[in-house]
Amino acid sequence: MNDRRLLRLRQLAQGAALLGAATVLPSCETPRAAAPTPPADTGKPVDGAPAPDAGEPPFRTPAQLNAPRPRVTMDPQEAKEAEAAKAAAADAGVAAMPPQTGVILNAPPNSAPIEPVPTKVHLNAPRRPDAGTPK
Amino acid sequence: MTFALSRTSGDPLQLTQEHELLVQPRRGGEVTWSLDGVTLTPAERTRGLDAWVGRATTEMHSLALFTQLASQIHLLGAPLDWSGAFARVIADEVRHTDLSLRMSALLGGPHTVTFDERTFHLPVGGSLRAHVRHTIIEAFCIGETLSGRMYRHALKAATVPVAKKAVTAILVDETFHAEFGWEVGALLMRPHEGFEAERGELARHLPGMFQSFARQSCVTRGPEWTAAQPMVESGENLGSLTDEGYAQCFYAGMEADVVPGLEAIGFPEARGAWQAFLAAHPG
Repeated sequence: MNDRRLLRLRQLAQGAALLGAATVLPSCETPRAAAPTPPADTGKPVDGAPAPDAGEPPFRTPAQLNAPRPRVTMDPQEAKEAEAAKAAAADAGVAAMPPQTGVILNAPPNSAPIEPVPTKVHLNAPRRPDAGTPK
Repeated sequence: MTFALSRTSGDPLQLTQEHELLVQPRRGGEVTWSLDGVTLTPAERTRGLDAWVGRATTEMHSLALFTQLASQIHLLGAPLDWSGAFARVIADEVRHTDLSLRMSALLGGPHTVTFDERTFHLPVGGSLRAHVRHTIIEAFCIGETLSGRMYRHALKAATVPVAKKAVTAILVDETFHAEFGWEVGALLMRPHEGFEAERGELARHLPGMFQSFARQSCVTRGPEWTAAQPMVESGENLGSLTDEGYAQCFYAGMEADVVPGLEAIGFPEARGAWQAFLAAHPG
């Protein structure tokens, strides 16, 4: 890497932050709570969007579909249950498992074998507590 | 669950036609899938086959990981050009997996490769921004930078025309991936609230990352011994290096690109971590 490129990287890293959105995924912190059952499609406006005129077909207009949705917050009971589920996962050794590098390099055929990497998507799957390489 | 990945769905479909267009090399012209005029010894064929089956595996892993990352940057509010560049990276990984599977089939090897889907995605814990930063630095700034160097040497080593074409196609893409990774990595190092704690945590993982990539690059001994070993086997070559050749690429890439680059984007700890690695691998 030549000096010019290194200087460019330094400059890039020293600018103003570009990312302003969520930094934490709630589902990463606690097991995902059961999704609330969506309301039955009555043809009525959703999320406070303007009511359709009488005689309008029972489907949502693009404006209605794009209307802002109310924030979903976990009620105290759900939060308690989520905490309990997290504790149960920890008891099962899931949380205690060391993080893994998991990133696999392209190229050499004879390098160390790839080991399974657990994902949050499969929290219920049994896993070896000694799997993988710690980060 | 494991599954065997095949190239196509098996029916004359429009999606397959689209795929066939996408997997054409971006530069260097179409690949002519033929070994006409090439005489390979069993050892040469086996070496080539090992390399290409291994590549089909690692390129598919890259495809899955980069697709996961692409969806995560949306959640971070990244500018749209990140998504555009990521779309290319993902298409490139499809191309590389496809080329590797075709090389395997051409050499009389398997037409499919088996995967365990649990190995595809990385778990996310805590800050998504920290996770994305960590994965970009690990997979792109280190991984793609090193593998680009390996492919450059593999291209020099290749003697068989079809392999030269396939390696060229991958090398063109990998060169972009490394550049993309360093740019995005640098942008992700711009300070924000809580940044220093996340940066420090990532810096603590650098020694482990270096070791992980050394292991994957077939490093067994220090740089001096490694550099004295042959980089390629004699005879016809289908675009592969010796184990020591890959290890040479690791040492050279870490010295010339990875460590200086990490320092430049805000990890002064990289130098110390690398010196500690070298001290642990004398000779």
